[in-house]
Amino acid sequence: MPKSIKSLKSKGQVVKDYHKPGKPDIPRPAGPVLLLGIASTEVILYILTLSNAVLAILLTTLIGFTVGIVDDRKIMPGWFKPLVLVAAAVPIILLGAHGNYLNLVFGSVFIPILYIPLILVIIPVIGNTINSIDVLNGMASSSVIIALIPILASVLLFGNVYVFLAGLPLLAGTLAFYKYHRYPSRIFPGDSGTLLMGAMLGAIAIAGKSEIIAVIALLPAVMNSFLFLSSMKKIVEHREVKARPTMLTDDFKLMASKDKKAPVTLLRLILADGPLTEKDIIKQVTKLAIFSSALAFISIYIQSLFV
Amino acid sequence: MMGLFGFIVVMWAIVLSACGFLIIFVAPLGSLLGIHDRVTTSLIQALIAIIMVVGLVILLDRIKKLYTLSKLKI
Repeated sequence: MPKSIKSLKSKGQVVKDYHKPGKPDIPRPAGPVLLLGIASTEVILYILTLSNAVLAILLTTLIGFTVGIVDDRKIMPGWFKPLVLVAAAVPIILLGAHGNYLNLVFGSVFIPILYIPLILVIIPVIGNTINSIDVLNGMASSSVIIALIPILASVLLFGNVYVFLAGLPLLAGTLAFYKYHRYPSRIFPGDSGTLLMGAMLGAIAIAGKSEIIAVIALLPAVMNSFLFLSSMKKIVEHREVKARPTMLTDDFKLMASKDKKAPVTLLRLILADGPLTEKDIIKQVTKLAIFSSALAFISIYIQSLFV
Repeated sequence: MMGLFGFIVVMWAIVLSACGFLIIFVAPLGSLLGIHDRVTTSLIQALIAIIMVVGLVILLDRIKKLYTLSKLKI
Protein backbone atom coordinates (compact mmCIF):
# COMPACT_ATOMS: atom_id res chain seq x y z
CA MET A 1 0.00 0.00 0.00
CA PRO A 2 2.74 2.60 0.79
CA LYS A 3 4.28 1.93 -2.67
CA SER A 4 0.87 2.40 -4.27
CA ILE A 5 0.37 5.67 -2.37
CA LYS A 6 3.76 6.91 -3.59
CA SER A 7 3.09 5.78 -7.18
CA LEU A 8 -0.37 7.40 -7.35
CA LYS A 9 1.03 10.64 -5.92
CA SER A 10 3.88 10.75 -8.47
CA LYS A 11 1.38 10.18 -11.30
CA GLY A 12 -0.81 12.98 -9.94
CA GLN A 13 -3.75 10.64 -9.32
CA VAL A 14 -5.04 12.54 -6.31
CA VAL A 15 -8.29 14.11 -5.15
CA LYS A 16 -8.94 16.78 -2.53
CA ASP A 17 -10.11 15.78 0.94
CA TYR A 18 -12.56 18.66 1.37
CA HIS A 19 -13.29 17.97 5.03
CA LYS A 20 -9.76 18.78 6.24
CA PRO A 21 -8.06 22.14 6.76
CA GLY A 22 -5.98 22.99 3.68
CA LYS A 23 -7.88 20.39 1.61
CA PRO A 24 -4.93 17.95 1.24
CA ASP A 25 -4.42 15.87 -1.91
CA ILE A 26 -5.18 12.20 -1.25
CA PRO A 27 -4.10 9.46 -3.71
CA ARG A 28 -6.92 7.52 -5.38
CA PRO A 29 -7.86 4.75 -6.33
CA ALA A 30 -6.68 1.94 -4.05
CA GLY A 31 -8.81 -0.55 -6.02
CA PRO A 32 -5.94 -1.97 -8.13
CA VAL A 33 -3.67 -2.76 -5.17
CA LEU A 34 -6.63 -4.16 -3.21
CA LEU A 35 -7.50 -6.38 -6.18
CA LEU A 36 -3.92 -7.56 -6.52
CA GLY A 37 -3.83 -8.78 -2.92
CA ILE A 38 -7.28 -10.35 -2.90
CA ALA A 39 -7.29 -11.88 -6.40
CA SER A 40 -3.84 -13.49 -6.02
CA THR A 41 -5.03 -15.30 -2.87
CA GLU A 42 -8.28 -16.32 -4.55
CA VAL A 43 -6.35 -17.75 -7.55
CA ILE A 44 -4.22 -19.88 -5.20
CA LEU A 45 -7.37 -21.01 -3.35
CA TYR A 46 -9.02 -21.96 -6.67
CA ILE A 47 -5.96 -23.97 -7.78
CA LEU A 48 -6.02 -25.84 -4.46
CA THR A 49 -9.80 -26.46 -4.31
CA LEU A 50 -11.03 -26.25 -7.94
CA SER A 51 -14.26 -24.97 -6.40
CA ASN A 52 -16.72 -23.30 -8.77
CA ALA A 53 -17.88 -21.08 -5.90
CA VAL A 54 -14.34 -19.72 -5.41
CA LEU A 55 -13.99 -19.09 -9.16
CA ALA A 56 -17.39 -17.35 -9.27
CA ILE A 57 -16.43 -15.10 -6.33
CA LEU A 58 -13.13 -14.25 -8.05
CA LEU A 59 -14.79 -13.42 -11.39
CA THR A 60 -17.55 -11.36 -9.73
CA THR A 61 -14.88 -9.41 -7.84
CA LEU A 62 -12.93 -8.82 -11.08
CA ILE A 63 -16.01 -7.53 -12.91
CA GLY A 64 -16.98 -5.31 -9.96
CA PHE A 65 -13.46 -3.87 -9.97
CA THR A 66 -13.54 -3.31 -13.76
CA VAL A 67 -16.83 -1.38 -13.53
CA GLY A 68 -15.31 0.71 -10.75
CA ILE A 69 -12.05 1.47 -12.54
CA VAL A 70 -13.99 2.69 -15.60
CA ASP A 71 -15.92 5.03 -13.28
CA ASP A 72 -12.66 6.12 -11.60
CA ARG A 73 -11.10 7.08 -14.95
CA LYS A 74 -14.18 8.61 -16.58
CA ILE A 75 -17.24 10.22 -15.00
CA MET A 76 -20.14 7.95 -15.97
CA PRO A 77 -23.89 8.67 -15.67
CA GLY A 78 -25.85 7.54 -12.58
CA TRP A 79 -27.33 4.46 -14.27
CA PHE A 80 -23.93 3.09 -15.31
CA LYS A 81 -22.83 1.36 -12.11
CA PRO A 82 -26.11 -0.37 -11.13
CA LEU A 83 -26.79 -1.51 -14.70
CA VAL A 84 -23.31 -2.74 -15.62
CA LEU A 85 -22.85 -4.40 -12.22
CA VAL A 86 -25.56 -6.88 -13.27
CA ALA A 87 -22.78 -8.45 -15.39
CA ALA A 88 -20.84 -9.15 -12.18
CA ALA A 89 -23.65 -11.49 -11.09
CA VAL A 90 -23.42 -13.60 -14.26
CA PRO A 91 -20.42 -15.80 -13.19
CA ILE A 92 -22.36 -16.90 -10.07
CA ILE A 93 -25.26 -18.07 -12.24
CA LEU A 94 -23.17 -19.61 -15.04
CA LEU A 95 -20.92 -21.52 -12.62
CA GLY A 96 -23.87 -22.60 -10.47
CA ALA A 97 -22.31 -21.15 -7.32
CA HIS A 98 -25.73 -20.38 -5.86
CA GLY A 99 -27.98 -22.86 -4.16
CA ASN A 100 -31.62 -23.57 -4.98
CA TYR A 101 -32.75 -22.72 -1.45
CA LEU A 102 -32.94 -19.21 -0.02
CA ASN A 103 -32.32 -19.02 3.73
CA LEU A 104 -35.02 -16.85 5.31
CA VAL A 105 -33.94 -17.02 8.98
CA PHE A 106 -37.03 -19.04 10.04
CA GLY A 107 -36.38 -21.70 7.41
CA SER A 108 -35.51 -21.91 3.74
CA VAL A 109 -37.54 -21.82 0.53
CA PHE A 110 -36.90 -23.82 -2.65
CA ILE A 111 -36.75 -21.27 -5.46
CA PRO A 112 -34.54 -22.68 -8.26
CA ILE A 113 -35.82 -20.27 -10.95
CA LEU A 114 -36.67 -17.22 -8.84
CA TYR A 115 -33.18 -17.25 -7.37
CA ILE A 116 -31.60 -16.16 -10.68
CA PRO A 117 -33.28 -12.73 -10.99
CA LEU A 118 -32.62 -12.27 -7.28
CA ILE A 119 -28.87 -12.76 -7.84
CA LEU A 120 -28.96 -10.22 -10.69
CA VAL A 121 -30.40 -7.72 -8.19
CA ILE A 122 -28.28 -8.55 -5.09
CA ILE A 123 -24.83 -7.88 -6.63
CA PRO A 124 -25.60 -4.38 -8.02
CA VAL A 125 -27.48 -3.45 -4.83
CA ILE A 126 -24.66 -4.50 -2.44
CA GLY A 127 -22.00 -3.04 -4.76
CA ASN A 128 -23.72 0.34 -4.88
CA THR A 129 -24.56 0.22 -1.17
CA ILE A 130 -20.86 -0.02 -0.26
CA ASN A 131 -20.05 2.59 -2.90
CA SER A 132 -22.53 5.09 -1.49
CA ILE A 133 -21.36 4.73 2.15
CA ASP A 134 -17.85 5.83 1.09
CA VAL A 135 -18.35 9.47 2.07
CA LEU A 136 -15.88 9.96 4.94
CA ASN A 137 -12.44 8.60 5.82
CA GLY A 138 -12.50 4.85 6.44
CA MET A 139 -16.27 4.49 6.36
CA ALA A 140 -16.55 2.00 3.47
CA SER A 141 -13.70 -0.23 4.65
CA SER A 142 -14.80 -0.26 8.31
CA SER A 143 -18.40 -1.02 7.30
CA VAL A 144 -17.20 -3.99 5.21
CA ILE A 145 -14.93 -5.31 7.99
CA ILE A 146 -17.64 -5.09 10.68
CA ALA A 147 -20.31 -6.65 8.43
CA LEU A 148 -17.98 -9.43 7.27
CA ILE A 149 -17.64 -10.93 10.77
CA PRO A 150 -21.27 -12.14 11.10
CA ILE A 151 -21.46 -12.87 7.35
CA LEU A 152 -18.43 -15.19 7.51
CA ALA A 153 -19.80 -16.82 10.68
CA SER A 154 -23.07 -17.43 8.81
CA VAL A 155 -21.24 -18.78 5.74
CA LEU A 156 -19.36 -21.24 7.94
CA LEU A 157 -22.59 -22.37 9.65
CA PHE A 158 -25.03 -22.42 6.73
CA GLY A 159 -22.85 -22.27 3.61
CA ASN A 160 -19.66 -24.17 2.87
CA VAL A 161 -16.07 -24.05 3.99
CA TYR A 162 -14.64 -23.11 0.55
CA VAL A 163 -16.79 -19.98 0.43
CA PHE A 164 -15.70 -19.18 3.99
CA LEU A 165 -12.05 -19.53 2.92
CA ALA A 166 -12.77 -17.37 -0.14
CA GLY A 167 -14.14 -14.69 2.17
CA LEU A 168 -11.01 -14.50 4.33
CA PRO A 169 -8.89 -12.64 1.71
CA LEU A 170 -11.56 -9.92 1.60
CA LEU A 171 -11.41 -9.58 5.38
CA ALA A 172 -7.59 -9.60 5.45
CA GLY A 173 -7.30 -7.26 2.43
CA THR A 174 -9.84 -4.79 3.81
CA LEU A 175 -8.18 -4.85 7.24
CA ALA A 176 -4.80 -4.09 5.64
CA PHE A 177 -6.39 -1.34 3.55
CA TYR A 178 -8.21 0.13 6.56
CA LYS A 179 -4.84 0.96 8.15
CA TYR A 180 -4.33 3.54 5.36
CA HIS A 181 -7.98 4.43 4.73
CA ARG A 182 -8.98 5.22 8.33
CA TYR A 183 -9.10 8.81 9.58
CA PRO A 184 -7.01 10.70 8.48
CA SER A 185 -6.98 8.85 5.15
CA ARG A 186 -3.72 8.39 3.30
CA ILE A 187 -5.45 6.78 0.31
CA PHE A 188 -9.05 6.57 -0.98
CA PRO A 189 -10.52 3.35 -2.41
CA GLY A 190 -12.21 4.99 -5.40
CA ASP A 191 -15.12 3.30 -7.16
CA SER A 192 -12.81 0.41 -8.12
CA GLY A 193 -12.14 -0.28 -4.43
CA THR A 194 -15.70 0.10 -3.15
CA LEU A 195 -17.33 -1.83 -6.00
CA LEU A 196 -14.72 -4.58 -5.66
CA MET A 197 -15.53 -4.90 -1.94
CA GLY A 198 -19.30 -4.66 -2.50
CA ALA A 199 -19.46 -7.13 -5.40
CA MET A 200 -17.26 -9.61 -3.54
CA LEU A 201 -19.32 -9.28 -0.36
CA GLY A 202 -22.49 -9.95 -2.39
CA ALA A 203 -20.92 -12.99 -4.09
CA ILE A 204 -19.79 -14.43 -0.73
CA ALA A 205 -23.28 -13.90 0.71
CA ILE A 206 -24.95 -15.67 -2.24
CA ALA A 207 -22.47 -18.56 -2.54
CA GLY A 208 -22.46 -18.90 1.25
CA LYS A 209 -26.27 -18.97 1.60
CA SER A 210 -26.20 -15.87 3.81
CA GLU A 211 -28.09 -13.22 1.82
CA ILE A 212 -30.49 -12.12 4.57
CA ILE A 213 -27.72 -12.11 7.21
CA ALA A 214 -25.68 -9.88 4.86
CA VAL A 215 -28.60 -7.45 4.48
CA ILE A 216 -28.96 -7.25 8.29
CA ALA A 217 -25.21 -6.84 8.88
CA LEU A 218 -25.13 -4.04 6.31
CA LEU A 219 -28.23 -2.22 7.62
CA PRO A 220 -26.57 1.22 8.15
CA ALA A 221 -25.25 1.16 4.56
CA VAL A 222 -28.58 -0.22 3.26
CA MET A 223 -30.38 2.51 5.22
CA ASN A 224 -28.12 5.17 3.68
CA SER A 225 -28.87 3.93 0.14
CA PHE A 226 -32.58 3.65 0.90
CA LEU A 227 -32.77 7.17 2.36
CA PHE A 228 -30.90 8.61 -0.63
CA LEU A 229 -32.96 6.79 -3.28
CA SER A 230 -36.22 7.44 -1.46
CA SER A 231 -35.56 11.20 -1.32
CA MET A 232 -34.15 11.49 -4.87
CA LYS A 233 -36.82 9.17 -6.37
CA LYS A 234 -34.32 8.05 -9.04
CA ILE A 235 -30.83 6.59 -9.46
CA VAL A 236 -28.43 9.52 -9.57
CA GLU A 237 -24.67 9.96 -9.06
CA HIS A 238 -23.76 11.77 -5.81
CA ARG A 239 -21.69 14.28 -7.78
CA GLU A 240 -24.78 15.16 -9.86
CA VAL A 241 -26.76 16.22 -6.75
CA LYS A 242 -26.82 20.02 -6.63
CA ALA A 243 -28.25 20.50 -3.11
CA ARG A 244 -25.71 18.92 -0.75
CA PRO A 245 -27.04 17.00 2.29
CA THR A 246 -24.30 18.38 4.57
CA MET A 247 -22.29 21.60 4.84
CA LEU A 248 -18.85 22.38 6.22
CA THR A 249 -18.59 24.99 8.97
CA ASP A 250 -15.65 27.39 9.36
CA ASP A 251 -14.18 25.22 12.13
CA PHE A 252 -14.27 22.15 9.84
CA LYS A 253 -17.30 20.53 11.41
CA LEU A 254 -20.05 19.04 9.30
CA MET A 255 -23.65 20.18 9.74
CA ALA A 256 -26.96 18.98 8.29
CA SER A 257 -28.38 21.01 5.43
CA LYS A 258 -31.78 22.65 5.95
CA ASP A 259 -32.38 22.66 2.19
CA LYS A 260 -35.62 20.80 1.41
CA LYS A 261 -34.22 19.72 -1.98
CA ALA A 262 -31.11 18.11 -0.46
CA PRO A 263 -31.23 14.30 -0.25
CA VAL A 264 -31.72 12.64 3.13
CA THR A 265 -28.68 10.51 3.96
CA LEU A 266 -27.41 8.66 7.01
CA LEU A 267 -24.85 11.42 7.55
CA ARG A 268 -27.50 14.14 7.44
CA LEU A 269 -29.59 12.32 10.05
CA ILE A 270 -26.56 11.81 12.32
CA LEU A 271 -25.90 15.55 12.05
CA ALA A 272 -29.53 16.47 12.79
CA ASP A 273 -28.65 16.86 16.49
CA GLY A 274 -25.93 19.41 15.71
CA PRO A 275 -22.58 19.83 13.91
CA LEU A 276 -19.91 17.19 14.49
CA THR A 277 -16.30 16.69 13.46
CA GLU A 278 -15.53 14.10 10.79
CA LYS A 279 -13.92 11.87 13.43
CA ASP A 280 -17.04 11.96 15.64
CA ILE A 281 -19.32 11.09 12.72
CA ILE A 282 -17.12 8.12 11.83
CA LYS A 283 -17.40 6.93 15.47
CA GLN A 284 -21.22 7.15 15.28
CA VAL A 285 -21.36 5.21 12.00
CA THR A 286 -19.03 2.56 13.47
CA LYS A 287 -21.37 2.21 16.48
CA LEU A 288 -24.33 1.69 14.12
CA ALA A 289 -22.36 -0.89 12.12
CA ILE A 290 -21.42 -2.82 15.27
CA PHE A 291 -25.07 -2.68 16.43
CA SER A 292 -26.24 -4.11 13.08
CA SER A 293 -23.64 -6.85 13.24
CA ALA A 294 -24.97 -7.75 16.71
CA LEU A 295 -28.48 -7.98 15.19
CA ALA A 296 -27.03 -10.18 12.44
CA PHE A 297 -25.56 -12.50 15.11
CA ILE A 298 -28.98 -12.69 16.84
CA SER A 299 -30.49 -13.56 13.44
CA ILE A 300 -27.84 -16.27 12.92
CA TYR A 301 -28.81 -17.72 16.32
CA ILE A 302 -32.52 -17.69 15.36
CA GLN A 303 -31.68 -19.28 12.00
CA SER A 304 -29.66 -22.03 13.70
CA LEU A 305 -32.80 -23.01 15.64
CA PHE A 306 -34.71 -23.68 12.41
CA VAL A 307 -32.05 -25.55 10.41
CA MET B 1 -28.55 9.21 17.70
CA MET B 2 -30.77 6.82 19.69
CA GLY B 3 -33.41 7.36 17.01
CA LEU B 4 -31.08 5.90 14.40
CA PHE B 5 -30.59 2.74 16.47
CA GLY B 6 -34.39 2.57 16.67
CA PHE B 7 -34.65 3.01 12.89
CA ILE B 8 -32.22 0.11 12.41
CA VAL B 9 -34.23 -2.08 14.82
CA VAL B 10 -37.41 -1.23 12.85
CA MET B 11 -35.66 -2.20 9.60
CA TRP B 12 -34.45 -5.44 11.21
CA ALA B 13 -37.97 -6.22 12.46
CA ILE B 14 -39.36 -5.57 8.97
CA VAL B 15 -36.79 -7.95 7.40
CA LEU B 16 -37.56 -10.68 9.97
CA SER B 17 -41.34 -10.20 9.59
CA ALA B 18 -41.03 -10.50 5.82
CA CYS B 19 -38.96 -13.68 6.21
CA GLY B 20 -41.52 -15.12 8.65
CA PHE B 21 -44.44 -14.27 6.34
CA LEU B 22 -42.72 -15.89 3.36
CA ILE B 23 -41.92 -19.08 5.32
CA ILE B 24 -45.33 -19.45 7.00
CA PHE B 25 -47.72 -18.36 4.24
CA VAL B 26 -46.00 -18.08 0.85
CA ALA B 27 -43.67 -21.11 0.79
CA PRO B 28 -46.44 -23.71 1.43
CA LEU B 29 -48.92 -21.87 -0.85
CA GLY B 30 -49.22 -24.78 -3.32
CA SER B 31 -50.39 -27.21 -0.66
CA LEU B 32 -52.47 -24.56 1.14
CA LEU B 33 -54.45 -23.70 -2.04
CA GLY B 34 -54.32 -27.20 -3.50
CA ILE B 35 -52.45 -26.10 -6.65
CA HIS B 36 -50.25 -28.88 -8.02
CA ASP B 37 -48.76 -27.06 -11.04
CA ARG B 38 -45.29 -25.87 -9.93
CA VAL B 39 -45.04 -23.06 -12.50
CA THR B 40 -48.40 -21.56 -11.45
CA THR B 41 -47.48 -21.87 -7.77
CA SER B 42 -44.09 -20.20 -8.39
CA LEU B 43 -45.69 -17.34 -10.33
CA ILE B 44 -48.22 -16.68 -7.54
CA GLN B 45 -45.44 -16.90 -4.92
CA ALA B 46 -43.25 -14.47 -6.88
CA LEU B 47 -46.17 -12.06 -7.30
CA ILE B 48 -46.95 -12.11 -3.56
CA ALA B 49 -43.26 -11.65 -2.70
CA ILE B 50 -42.96 -8.65 -5.07
CA ILE B 51 -46.16 -7.05 -3.70
CA MET B 52 -44.87 -7.62 -0.17
CA VAL B 53 -41.48 -6.02 -0.94
CA VAL B 54 -43.16 -3.00 -2.59
CA GLY B 55 -45.49 -2.69 0.41
CA LEU B 56 -42.57 -2.82 2.84
CA VAL B 57 -40.65 -0.19 0.86
CA ILE B 58 -43.73 2.11 1.00
CA LEU B 59 -44.06 1.45 4.76
CA LEU B 60 -40.37 2.20 5.30
CA ASP B 61 -40.68 5.35 3.20
CA ARG B 62 -43.53 6.56 5.47
CA ILE B 63 -41.47 5.83 8.58
CA LYS B 64 -38.53 7.67 7.00
CA LYS B 65 -40.70 10.71 6.23
CA LEU B 66 -42.01 10.85 9.81
CA TYR B 67 -38.53 10.40 11.22
CA THR B 68 -36.85 12.98 8.98
CA LEU B 69 -39.67 15.45 9.60
CA SER B 70 -39.17 15.22 13.34
CA LYS B 71 -35.36 15.18 13.19
CA LEU B 72 -34.53 17.64 10.42
CA LYS B 73 -37.68 19.78 10.75
CA ILE B 74 -37.91 20.27 6.96
